[in-house]
Amino acid sequence: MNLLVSSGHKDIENLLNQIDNYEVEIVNEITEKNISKADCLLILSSLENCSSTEEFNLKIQGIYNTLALSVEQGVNKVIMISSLEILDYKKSYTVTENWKPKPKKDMYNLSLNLSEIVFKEFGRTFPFQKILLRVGFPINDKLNNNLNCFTSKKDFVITISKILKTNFKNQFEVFHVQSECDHQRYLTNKLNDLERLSSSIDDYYYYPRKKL
Amino acid sequence: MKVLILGANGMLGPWLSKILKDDHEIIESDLNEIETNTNFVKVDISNTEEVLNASEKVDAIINLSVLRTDRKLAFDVNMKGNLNMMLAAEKFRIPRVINTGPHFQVAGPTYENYDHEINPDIPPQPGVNIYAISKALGQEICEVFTEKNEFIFLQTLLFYNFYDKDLLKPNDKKGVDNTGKDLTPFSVRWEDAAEAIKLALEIDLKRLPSRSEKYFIFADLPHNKFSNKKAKEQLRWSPKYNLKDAWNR
Repeated sequence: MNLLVSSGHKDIENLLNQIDNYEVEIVNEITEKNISKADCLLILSSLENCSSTEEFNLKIQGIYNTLALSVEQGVNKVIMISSLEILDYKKSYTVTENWKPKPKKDMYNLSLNLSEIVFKEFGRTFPFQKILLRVGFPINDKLNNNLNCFTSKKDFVITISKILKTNFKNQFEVFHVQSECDHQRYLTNKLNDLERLSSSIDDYYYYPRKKL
Repeated sequence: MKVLILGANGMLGPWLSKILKDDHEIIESDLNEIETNTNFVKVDISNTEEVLNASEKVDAIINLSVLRTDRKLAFDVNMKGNLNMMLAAEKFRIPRVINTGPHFQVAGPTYENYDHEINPDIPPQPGVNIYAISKALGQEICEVFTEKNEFIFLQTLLFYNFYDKDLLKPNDKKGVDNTGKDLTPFSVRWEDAAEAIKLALEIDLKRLPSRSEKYFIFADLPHNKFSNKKAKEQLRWSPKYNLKDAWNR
């Protein structure tokens, strides 16, 4: 199986090589040639930093073009990595995947928000699996007592592997991931219950209604 | 009020300038120069510096700029243009921002099967059409900046099909008779569209229910697929032309 990755975050790029059963190709530019061989596309470029208005503009255009190309080339599954930072709610709130993004107005957070909107609209329009994974940064194994949101490298790799293996019933899903810790900022119940979201032969079998 | 109009050389710009010029000091701006008796500044809305320079010391910004088909230019104008406008509003503490767009930046293809009283506060679902999504992204930028800057009041007016007086012109060699022909349920006369923007510009901001409000602007038509009730109630806008004679369903 081929996993094509649009580069954008060095730490994550290095971790992706640990995924089993997938041949990982990390590229700076998505082209017809490299995407046509891919079974799955992972978009890290949504995490790319942008400081000027023009970088911001080009980043969103790049996301749109990448997704349009993935539709044209019939990629089965597209995963976009975003950040839990986009949910700028009070720390005491229990925020889940159902909450509306509330980004800060700096270019980076704004670009994450707009990337997610573009991704969601493609998810709504075209019938193939699109998974939005919001990661709790930093990705770090060292537990710092002050952090109530971080993701260990192991947890990150396991999450990506699970998402790659799952055949989703819905064409668009959002997951939050962070490692367990005291005063954990975000819940990961949906991700822990991933199997419930996968499709099986039973989902397509018609059961006549039982007589009352 | 000193008002900057972005994209003043479009189709709607002249109608708006005509009704604003007696009551306000207007600065018209566009990528292409226009012959006008008012102040004119050449501004490429996708250029941050140019938008910032044109926005200093204005009381309100009205954004009429739009680009529909070219993929790159659509993002440059509809998305980055809005970002530049909001950066200017933030920098110069401009309290009144009026944005415009097509109704389908909110009510996209997924709403096609709904057929009664679709209002402007539905969750936006623009789809992936380049015009709709780039406008919707621009709108999102406006809303984020409005939420984070407590002095900004954003009003968004959504239009679609504009008509002038020729719509109902009697059939002769020059004119086309549209009487009784079909019409989309989202149509408006230019004069009414410009009047709605004027009302949004002049409304007492304290009367607005929130700092970000969206309005559907279209003529009264029998179908009622969409609802213009909010614009009538909040802006006290009343379309002068109902276009009923052009409706045939």
